[in-house]
Amino acid sequence: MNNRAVLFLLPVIVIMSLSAFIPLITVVNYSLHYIFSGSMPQYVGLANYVEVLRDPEFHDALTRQLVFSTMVLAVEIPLGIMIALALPRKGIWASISLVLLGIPLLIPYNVVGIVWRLFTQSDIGVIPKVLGFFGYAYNVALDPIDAPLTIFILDVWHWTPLVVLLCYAGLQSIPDAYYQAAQIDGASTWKTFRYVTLPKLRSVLILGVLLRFMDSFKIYSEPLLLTGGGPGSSTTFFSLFVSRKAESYELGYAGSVSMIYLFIVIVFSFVFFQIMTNIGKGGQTK
Amino acid sequence: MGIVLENITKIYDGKTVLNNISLDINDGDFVTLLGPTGTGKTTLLRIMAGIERPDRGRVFYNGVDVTDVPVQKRDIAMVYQQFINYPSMTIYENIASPLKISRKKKLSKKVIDEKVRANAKLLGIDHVLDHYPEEVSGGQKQRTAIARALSKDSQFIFLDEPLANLDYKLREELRGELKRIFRNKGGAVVYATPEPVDALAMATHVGVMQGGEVLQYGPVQEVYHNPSCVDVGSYFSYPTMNMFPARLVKKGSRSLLAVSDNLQIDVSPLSGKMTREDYLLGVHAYALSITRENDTMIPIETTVELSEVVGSDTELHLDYHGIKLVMLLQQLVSIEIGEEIEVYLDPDRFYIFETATKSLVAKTGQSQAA
Repeated sequence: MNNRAVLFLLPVIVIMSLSAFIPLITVVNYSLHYIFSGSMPQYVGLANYVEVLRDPEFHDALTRQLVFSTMVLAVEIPLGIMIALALPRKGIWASISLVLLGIPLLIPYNVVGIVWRLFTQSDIGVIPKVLGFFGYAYNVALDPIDAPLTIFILDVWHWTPLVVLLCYAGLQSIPDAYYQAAQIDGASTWKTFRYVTLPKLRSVLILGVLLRFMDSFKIYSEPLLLTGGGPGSSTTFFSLFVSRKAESYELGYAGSVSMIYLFIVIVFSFVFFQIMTNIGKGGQTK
Repeated sequence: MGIVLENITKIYDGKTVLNNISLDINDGDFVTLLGPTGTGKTTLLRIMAGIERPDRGRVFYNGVDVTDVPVQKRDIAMVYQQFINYPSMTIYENIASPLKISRKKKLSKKVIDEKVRANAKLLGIDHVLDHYPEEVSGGQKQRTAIARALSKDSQFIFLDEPLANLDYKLREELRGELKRIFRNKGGAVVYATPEPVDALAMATHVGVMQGGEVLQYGPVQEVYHNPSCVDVGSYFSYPTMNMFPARLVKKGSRSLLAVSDNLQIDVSPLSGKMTREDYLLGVHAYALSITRENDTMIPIETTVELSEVVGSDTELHLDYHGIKLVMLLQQLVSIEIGEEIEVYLDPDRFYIFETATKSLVAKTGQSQAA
């Protein structure tokens, strides 16, 4: 009797299949074959996965990526909260600050990459000039520490405003009475933050952490434009690593890296989500 | 012992929200600040509590000037309209929080535990102590907030429309409980509310506020039966008091307040007090009757505009020569809209207000007896 219901689901099924499911299956299929340009694919089972998991280049890229994403979260989230707390709550200055903060978010990724490339260019860039003035020989193209650090700072500049805006919206929605109640209880500034502000920001922070984790894990165009993954492989983050493999026609290998990549993002996001939804509800309040 | 307010004035952005308010609240009083939204009840409450400073005037606790003492250093507790609890603490921890969070007096775990359990029991939330605020009902959240306020053992407790966000049934229930809890507490309780019923049901004293002023302050029954002016009379009554515009006319040696040709009240004994032409005759909704209980009652012809059932009563909205009346019948009756009915007024139950000054001149029944 309800067979017609299937018809209504059809558009969604078709669109989802074309946009997500079929490409995903294709990648799964690739990941199980040896594929070389123009030749017949050869089924190899999990051999690609084994190869990937044993590949030191993969280990390096993964470690680099994890360090990067951890640093991004560790800096952008607290910094975002702090800036949001420091912003004016109302009046003309509130609007002005929000617009200024929003500007980095409005710039397209590739433009961000180009702008920072100009900033950091060793002959004309303002950053090497200024740092040089203080006696630091900065060189994004040659120094394997300067390069990832620059990308990290770029990311903080680019994406902390997102965390700020989320937290700011969250802060605005906390009724004044909560702060008054804490005041009446004689709570210190820290305790007010700990017991009122932070728990009330929980849902926006979950969102912030998830978005920043997933996004930072996918960072691609910035290192591509700024450093091209170098010097050496010091800025070859995960997506760059995958695309390099695909570009060199190791499609089977790239496929299995992609699957592992997807798996990692899902697992981490799930774990973050679980931890954060249970914090503050799960009794770790003492 | 108690709270004394002296000439409190508060101005926001050039607008006077509280104008020269003086009040004297004693320990043991349960005071309701009654008035419509935007009359400054909350502001007055916050000034009393010390959350805000008055622009002029002083606040005294037990004879000591505390105007400049910040709220953290005062011995008060507050309950809000929103259900304010610490979201990351369990109900138990919330009730204990004023005792744990504060930087001053530290109590032993055992004492805190006893207090928390006693207050939880008092408010009927001892079975949800391990839950978090977001896991319990609205009523339980507010009970938690009240228990939190109680556990502080403050001399003064301020409540800002604590029942406003609860549904009807819970409101009725908690109203009864609050009276029981706070009346035995010692210290003073100040309760801001827009609902006359709250004042009538719980309070010992009421201050009727309007436009940033306290129009009248006194014991509940006193204010209810002797409203000092039209605004107090009409606001502090439920349903609102009926007002008939009337003119003072002389008929021979008699003075009459005439609303219409047949609705005229003899005010001869009061004529000494009555120096103006225009008056308002106020009468409570429940003083209107559909049966003629005695011969002195004055019949008037009215048209029914609306009939609604309120609880077990019927509220009739009537029209009498363009004057809108409300009548409260303590029974369920069904009357068609547009029907003409005869309503009886007791000439001894009128309040006489001067139209120009709005103030009460006399009550009819008393004066004639006197």
